Amino acid sequence: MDFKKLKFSTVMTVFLIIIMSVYFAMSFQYSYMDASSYSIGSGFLPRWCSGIMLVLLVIYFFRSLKEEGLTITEVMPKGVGLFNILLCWAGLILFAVLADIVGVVIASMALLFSLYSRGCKWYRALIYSAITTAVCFVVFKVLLEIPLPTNQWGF
Amino acid sequence: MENVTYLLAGFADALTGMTPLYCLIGVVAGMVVGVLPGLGPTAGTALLLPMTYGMSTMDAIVMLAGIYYGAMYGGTITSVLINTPGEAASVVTCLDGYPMAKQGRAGAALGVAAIGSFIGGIVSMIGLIFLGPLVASQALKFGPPEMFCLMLVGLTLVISLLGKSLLKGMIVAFLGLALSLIGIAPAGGTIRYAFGSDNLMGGIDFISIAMGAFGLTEIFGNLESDLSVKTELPKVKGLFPEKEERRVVAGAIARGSVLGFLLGLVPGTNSTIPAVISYSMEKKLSKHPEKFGEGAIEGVAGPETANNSYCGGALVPLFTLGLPTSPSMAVLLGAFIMHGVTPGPRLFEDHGPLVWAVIASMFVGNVFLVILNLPLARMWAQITRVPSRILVPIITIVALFGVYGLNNSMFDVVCMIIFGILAYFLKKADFPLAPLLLTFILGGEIEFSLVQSMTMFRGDFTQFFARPICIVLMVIIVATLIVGSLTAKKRIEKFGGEEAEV
Repeated sequence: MDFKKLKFSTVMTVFLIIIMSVYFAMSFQYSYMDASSYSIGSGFLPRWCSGIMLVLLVIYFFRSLKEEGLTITEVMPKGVGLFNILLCWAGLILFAVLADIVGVVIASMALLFSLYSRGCKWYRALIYSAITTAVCFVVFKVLLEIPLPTNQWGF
Repeated sequence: MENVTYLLAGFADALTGMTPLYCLIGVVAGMVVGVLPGLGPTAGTALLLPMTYGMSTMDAIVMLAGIYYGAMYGGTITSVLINTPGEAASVVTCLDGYPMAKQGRAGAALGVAAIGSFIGGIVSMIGLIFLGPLVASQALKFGPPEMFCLMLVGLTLVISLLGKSLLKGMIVAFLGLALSLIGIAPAGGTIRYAFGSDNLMGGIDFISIAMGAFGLTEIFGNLESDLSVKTELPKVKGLFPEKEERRVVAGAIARGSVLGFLLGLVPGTNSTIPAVISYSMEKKLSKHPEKFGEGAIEGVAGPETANNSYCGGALVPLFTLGLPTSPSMAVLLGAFIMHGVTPGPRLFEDHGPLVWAVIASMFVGNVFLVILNLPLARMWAQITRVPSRILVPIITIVALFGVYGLNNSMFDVVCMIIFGILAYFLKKADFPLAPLLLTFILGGEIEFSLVQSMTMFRGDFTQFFARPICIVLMVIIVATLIVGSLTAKKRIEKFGGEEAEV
């Protein structure tokens, strides 16, 4: 089988089938009907929802093998576009991990610098990052009084 | 007549305190969102929603609603001046608006669009004033079984009319429903799919999904390509149509107003559909159909009026039935819920002053917009010159801070990132995203009404078929699914398969 020609929609469908299979299996942990109130239990809707979705996914799996669509080699952009996307994802994940540790200001500046630097010289990216972070910090923490995560120095 | 009295009281509330300022902020934000390609009213509303947390309910809803109809005005400017629709509903405006601009009549195109949008907005508000309480009073007769079936009708219409494939729409809809079931069950209080996590016990916040699926995916899409295109803007002079065109324009505006409002009442439509239908209608009714595509002024007036009038019509099912008919309405519904107000049949009774103040603010907002648009169109168009390499980081960081502010928890940020990446891949696989958000938001209500219904029926599901309204609604569900699957190809050819309002 030539994996390069495999449709991305097929891959996505298999991924969803795996997720929903786990979801469906877990739904049996919860009661189907609630005998005391003659009503549905907490497992009723999850079981039906995931069950129907699995049936639909299997149907679509076979349909996707014949449909036109992006292959797995075409789904991500090439070159600069791919680098931009992966950098953005890495930046977002690092922000989520580091903001509580180093403070939101440092985490934001790092993320913004990585994004701005994709289109500007490094010194301009640094200036834009600092300005954007400062403005957002003032708007969200000072004006809207949202307790953004800060480090031991308060930023 | 008493509706008029309530409306006047609403004006008194809408014009006091900070409410007019928030209305202005909302419409300006909507204009910016409408002007910027790649950022639609759904993502824009979701971006600003966390910032409304500390506001009063009225101010928050007024501001967020302003974004929605403000975006319809903003999308026109770039369609006319640079042949780039700022949002999906303005695609049709490019066909005749841009040729008019090339003929030196950009001002007339923008002026007619602004006036038509204003009149369409006012007409639809008047429709909302008289139809809203009427529908709500009838909806009070609906019990839990009828509400359950009605929500399924709304979702079925959305799934059938949005996106390219009914099957994919249903898959995504069930995915949204599955996600909404995470957390505490309404029946019995069982904790589902929490995996021992305190954060998951409370369920997933819909803002995380909305901003991830609609905001972040657009950001990722922008990062794939370079959108920093510098364009020359045509001169804008003379804001009104010629004397001999005024009668034609008036007719187009009148027809567009009615058409847009009526289509707004139907779940599953989006703002593109009234614009396209209005354009087709004006072309068929015109004495000079050959001029369409080359600068026919009614080809701008009709669609622009229709897409604005659609906004008021779409609010009727939202306010009276709690049924969001599009992703933007779904986010607005979330805003109501976040502020402790549940739209539905009892909204006008339980929160009358709030609803009438919001409706009144929309009149005010439309006035602001026509004032902002008529003399300042060229200024708004300058926003398109801001390159995406500057905008994308700003929007990203605002989204992160905003989502964090929901519950002061990094968990929501993590959810947003996860759903953003998931939605990016779903979009690449041609799965529509709108049903995901709509079923997620309605999932809790669907389960709750089903629990109540089954309690009423003592566990006998067949009792649904003993209720006439439920039978009618179920027939509509089946008919919609059949018609949706049979007409999918034709619909995509005419209206496109892409999601509007995102």
